[in-house]
Amino acid sequence: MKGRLYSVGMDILPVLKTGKLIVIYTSDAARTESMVLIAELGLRGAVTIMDGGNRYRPYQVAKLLRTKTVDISTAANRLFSRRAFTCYEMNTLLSSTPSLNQPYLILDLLNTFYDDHVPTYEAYRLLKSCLSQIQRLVLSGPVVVTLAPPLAEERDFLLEQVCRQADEVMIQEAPACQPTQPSLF
Amino acid sequence: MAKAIGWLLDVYAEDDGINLWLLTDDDKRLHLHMEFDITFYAAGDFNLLRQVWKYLKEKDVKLERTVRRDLFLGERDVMAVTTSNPAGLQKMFGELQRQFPSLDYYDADIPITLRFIARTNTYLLGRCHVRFDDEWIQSIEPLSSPWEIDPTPIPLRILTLAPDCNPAIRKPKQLHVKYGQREYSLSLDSPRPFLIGLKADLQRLDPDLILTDYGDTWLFPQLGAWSEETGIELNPNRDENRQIMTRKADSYFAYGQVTYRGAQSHLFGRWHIDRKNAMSFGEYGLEGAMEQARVTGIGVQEMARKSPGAGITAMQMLTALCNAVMVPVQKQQVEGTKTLSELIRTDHGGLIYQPLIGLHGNVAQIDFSSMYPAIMVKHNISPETVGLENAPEGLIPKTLRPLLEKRLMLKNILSDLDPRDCRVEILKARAAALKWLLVVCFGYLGYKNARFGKIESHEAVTATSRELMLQAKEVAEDMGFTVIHMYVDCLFVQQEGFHKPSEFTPLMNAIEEKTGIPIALEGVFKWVAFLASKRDARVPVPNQYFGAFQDGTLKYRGIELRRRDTTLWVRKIQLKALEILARANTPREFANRVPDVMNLMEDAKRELRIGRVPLDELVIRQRLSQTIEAYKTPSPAAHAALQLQAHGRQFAPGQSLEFLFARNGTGVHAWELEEALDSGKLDTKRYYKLLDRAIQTVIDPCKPLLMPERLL
Repeated sequence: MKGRLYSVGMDILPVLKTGKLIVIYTSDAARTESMVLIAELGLRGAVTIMDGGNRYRPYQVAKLLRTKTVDISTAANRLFSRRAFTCYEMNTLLSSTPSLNQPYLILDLLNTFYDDHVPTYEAYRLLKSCLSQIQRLVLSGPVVVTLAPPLAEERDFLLEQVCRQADEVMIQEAPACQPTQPSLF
Repeated sequence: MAKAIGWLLDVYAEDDGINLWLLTDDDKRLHLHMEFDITFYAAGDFNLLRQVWKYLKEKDVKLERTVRRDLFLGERDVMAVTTSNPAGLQKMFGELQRQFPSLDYYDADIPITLRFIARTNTYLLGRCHVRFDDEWIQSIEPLSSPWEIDPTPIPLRILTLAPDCNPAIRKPKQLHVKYGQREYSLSLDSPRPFLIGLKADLQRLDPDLILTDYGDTWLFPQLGAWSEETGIELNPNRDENRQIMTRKADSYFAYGQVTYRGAQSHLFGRWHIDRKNAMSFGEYGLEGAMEQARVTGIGVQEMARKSPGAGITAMQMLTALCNAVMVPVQKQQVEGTKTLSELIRTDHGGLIYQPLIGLHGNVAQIDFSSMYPAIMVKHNISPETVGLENAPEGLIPKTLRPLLEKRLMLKNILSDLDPRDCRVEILKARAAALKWLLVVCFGYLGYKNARFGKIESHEAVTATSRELMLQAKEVAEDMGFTVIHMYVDCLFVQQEGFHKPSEFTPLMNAIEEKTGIPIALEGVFKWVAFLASKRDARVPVPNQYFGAFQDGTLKYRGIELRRRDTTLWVRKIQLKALEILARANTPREFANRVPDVMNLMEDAKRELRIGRVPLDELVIRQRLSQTIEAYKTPSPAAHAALQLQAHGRQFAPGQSLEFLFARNGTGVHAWELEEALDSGKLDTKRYYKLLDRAIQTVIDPCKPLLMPERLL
């Protein structure tokens, strides 16, 4: 991993810069955090959202926007999204996304790569291709990628493959299990 | 040159062409061969294609540069790879794809039966005329179409084999054999005489279909093991050069749940269908499976085990092949860009109304017939035509049109037949089989693994359906009807003084004229109840209702009776309760019948308390949604699985578990455990709760009618 490690609780906005790839890794691919981020970015300008795991919640984003502005439609009309349902589609989706000077959010990038019907070598090849496309996008705008853990350990290498390329990796810390002394009374 | 006329039973690939089995008019089973070249295509970067050329030119294939049509990209320069070895295609393509993964491949994984149909126009189970020399076919001519409403029945020889118990629970002692009117049993005590007996039966009877219980998961694997043990060779294939083709068990996620599919044993030259491992066999039986095979082009033994989705995919592939459109190995089309506003506006399902909670008298239910497929055909909705004006008929409507027409014709014939007519059951099975293909065709527009799917076409269908439902509602209200409920493709309407079916005909005609989609009267309810949420009585539940038609027939949706995890005992009592209520002709009479229902419930509880309810009626059936180890808090099914695992049984996600609620540490007792549950240990209170809930469901709707009297 070439970047630093943060815990997810931190504010992502200040570190968003062109040329930076930020990875957020949590058990649910930062479901809530990513929607908050989309809404925040939507208030500031155009955003491209690429959804690889059916994680995008348009109503939730609309609600979040409503808490911040009365002019929802302006923000809603600059949140551009596309969904991919297979890793092949994710590859096509990324390669057909133009490089623009705006933030990109890739939700649950690896979800479709965890599909056990896709051979491991094919998942590896496609992810490599996706990562080169992500590098192209990084040159024109900040890219945030959210990730969730694989169902099977055999696909852990995909996570490492993405994190190795990231500038910052934010990981949600699992709640610490502290030994507690039972009370006497 | 010899000639023969008959039904085409089986087609499969061979190293030097294909094998065909024909059931002739003079009751012979002909094994024929046919030369059959197969072509697939590769497209992409020309430098890579040049490397492919070099890689393949050493192999026994014909290479050619040509132009073919991709449904979305239009004409493409492709490399055509032709082989005369259909059986070796899969291996050769697998190696090629590994070597050159970034190319686009087409027509490389099409089932051989579909290629055969596309080339000869001769369908499986269809009649044909063949001319052959020394078993090699020189010409083949179709004599029937899969779209015939009344195909000539095939005189199949069917051998049924079923063990005397579920082999997963205990070791079977006998195998019941049935052939025509004859029934007998073969002892399983000693493998040698059993194998000799079965082998003799197979040779003597020469069945076209071996219909088994647990054939996939027990009988055929066991036959192999016994054969090895005893040295007695037993090949159940008609093609003696072939061995049984086995497929491993697997679990997959489909239609919102994890499904387990047991290992499979396929035969060559004859069919094997395991009734316990065939996906929808219970619903439409052999007639339905054969109807699906006929129209989809997938072999009967495959189709019986596959989901209707596989059938609709095959039909789309066939349409593509017949229209010179290439079938991609991997779909690459992605969703177009949408803004948040557009996504919120378009990403919806069908229209679901909030019904008026409670009991309603004289309500008609009218349904659009096969609404979604009809919309796709009428409005030409297909992945490649969506958003285009005046586009030529798309691939999906082209595929669905004959299917839709055939089902409507079968339904019309059925509605004219006397219910006692011997053809009714067969026609019903065939109509149900076609219905399932039509049901899934919509989902496949948006399904991730569909070859020709695009999410926008999926959205276009639901958007059109919502519009049509609103148009239907407006028509009904203009004609003075109250719309009590609307659910995706059906409406529940009521008007004071209207209770005869004929009184609703003008409404249906008006809706059909307005929407252009056929609509039919499901029936007129004497009373129908729409249920409230159990959590909040003010909120209606759109997909839960029950009612009695004028002839006393019941219809119920979403209640305990329809749930697979409801015990037979609860289902029986709830059905009896509904039958009591069905005697009521009005909502008021319904309320008067409630005391009878309460008595029924008390009697049922008493029967349970004194141990008069057979334990098998109390069995609960639930699926494992994940591996047992993955459960943090084991579900009752997981507890039952753990009990059986202690006795050496293995379970995969999607497998169903049967158990009883018991007063022990885990609260369950696996039904398949050798030691039976002591009836004193049965958790009767838990069963009372289940029954209370089921009875509450059916009497709740009349509460408002009972309240005033109580208050008075």
